[in-house]
Amino acid sequence: MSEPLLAFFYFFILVTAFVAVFLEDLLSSFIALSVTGVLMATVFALLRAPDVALTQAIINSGLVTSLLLVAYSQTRRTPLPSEECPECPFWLQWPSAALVCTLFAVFLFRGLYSLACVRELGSAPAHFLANTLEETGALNVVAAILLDYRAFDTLGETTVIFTAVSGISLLLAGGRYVHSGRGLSFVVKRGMALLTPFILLYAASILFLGHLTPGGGFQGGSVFATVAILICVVYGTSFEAARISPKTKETLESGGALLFIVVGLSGAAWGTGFLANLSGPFLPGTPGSLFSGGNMLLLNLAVGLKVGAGLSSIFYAMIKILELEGDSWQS
Amino acid sequence: MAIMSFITVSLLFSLGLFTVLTRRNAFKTVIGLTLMESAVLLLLISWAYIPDGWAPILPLKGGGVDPLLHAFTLTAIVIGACDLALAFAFIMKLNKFERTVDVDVFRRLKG
Repeated sequence: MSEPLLAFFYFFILVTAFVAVFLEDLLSSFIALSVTGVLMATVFALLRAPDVALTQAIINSGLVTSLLLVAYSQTRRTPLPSEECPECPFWLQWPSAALVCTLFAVFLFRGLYSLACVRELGSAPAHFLANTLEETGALNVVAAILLDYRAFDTLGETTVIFTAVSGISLLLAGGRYVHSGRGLSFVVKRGMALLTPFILLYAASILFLGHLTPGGGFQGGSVFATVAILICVVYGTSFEAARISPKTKETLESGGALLFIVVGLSGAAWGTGFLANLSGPFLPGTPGSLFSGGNMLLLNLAVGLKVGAGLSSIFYAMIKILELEGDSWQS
Repeated sequence: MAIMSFITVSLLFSLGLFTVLTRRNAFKTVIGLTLMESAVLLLLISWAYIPDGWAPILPLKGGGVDPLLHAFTLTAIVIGACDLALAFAFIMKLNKFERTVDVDVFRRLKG
């Protein structure tokens, strides 16, 4: 890895972040924020973290930007009054905030600088790197940590996603569904129809090869959610709701959670503990083949179902209101 | 290398803090939160990097970088996206009642 290249990317991360903060136009600052996300993904790839780079590119700069744009299009904005408030003196406004933030940056850097030393692997990461193949049968060490060594954490994480989906559905419920947009033009619809199988294939390859190559349930599920979002945008919401009904998404999400729990309990039933992998009823298989790594394929499928269904229902709950008539609804 | 990352992380985090402190548009507050989160992710990944280390995909041809921090960062990204989605839902709901995204107007709970 070359340091000048990294410095170049760091510089542009800061520049795009400044643009995102100080631009008056909200739409442009969202795009600048998305560019920051893509540059961060590139830096992660340069720093030898392919899994994290993939997740950052798909989730943070893809899905979050689309959610931002939906939320932006949903809100009515009366012009904001100027940033100055008349009661408080000028120095108490942005200059004091800038001073506090500069001091914070200096002290944060000083603290981090005292951490700088020759890095060596701790005992746990060294153990993971040395023994993953024998202990789990997987080739991707990050997936092995997420789905074998610390699988209970992943179960908790999917619970967080479930909580977020429930909260959003609760907050945005009550809007009645009146009419749907007709979608985009004929050419875009045909193009989307041709593209969909390939995007699905890409999602499936990320999902099912997660224990061998960078990827896994979170990334693959997010690409599945992207397909649902694209169909929503291109064909209109009612088409999407007819093809993949919200009920189906709910069932898929619950099915993912159930699959995770059942795989975990099968280890407990074997007598070796919740979410036991190779010590439980699962076989290691040939390293490098699709059916290897014990229960990791099943757990990736469970996480993918949960993330894909969850994120697409978040998008659906948000865009549903956009399709409603202006003020005809109350809650 | 590490010093460069630390400078970027401190600047990015305090830029996000500045945005949260000074901007009154709720969307700008969310942008500030995103920047602070990005700074933390960047710190974790640059801390996981070991010079001449390989990506944690077996078989390794030498020493590897820290896979445990990568797993933590992956978790943090997914949970951060869910948090942001919830924040957008709150903004949309508040906007429905107050017809604005100015955080100074959201004072109904103020005693």
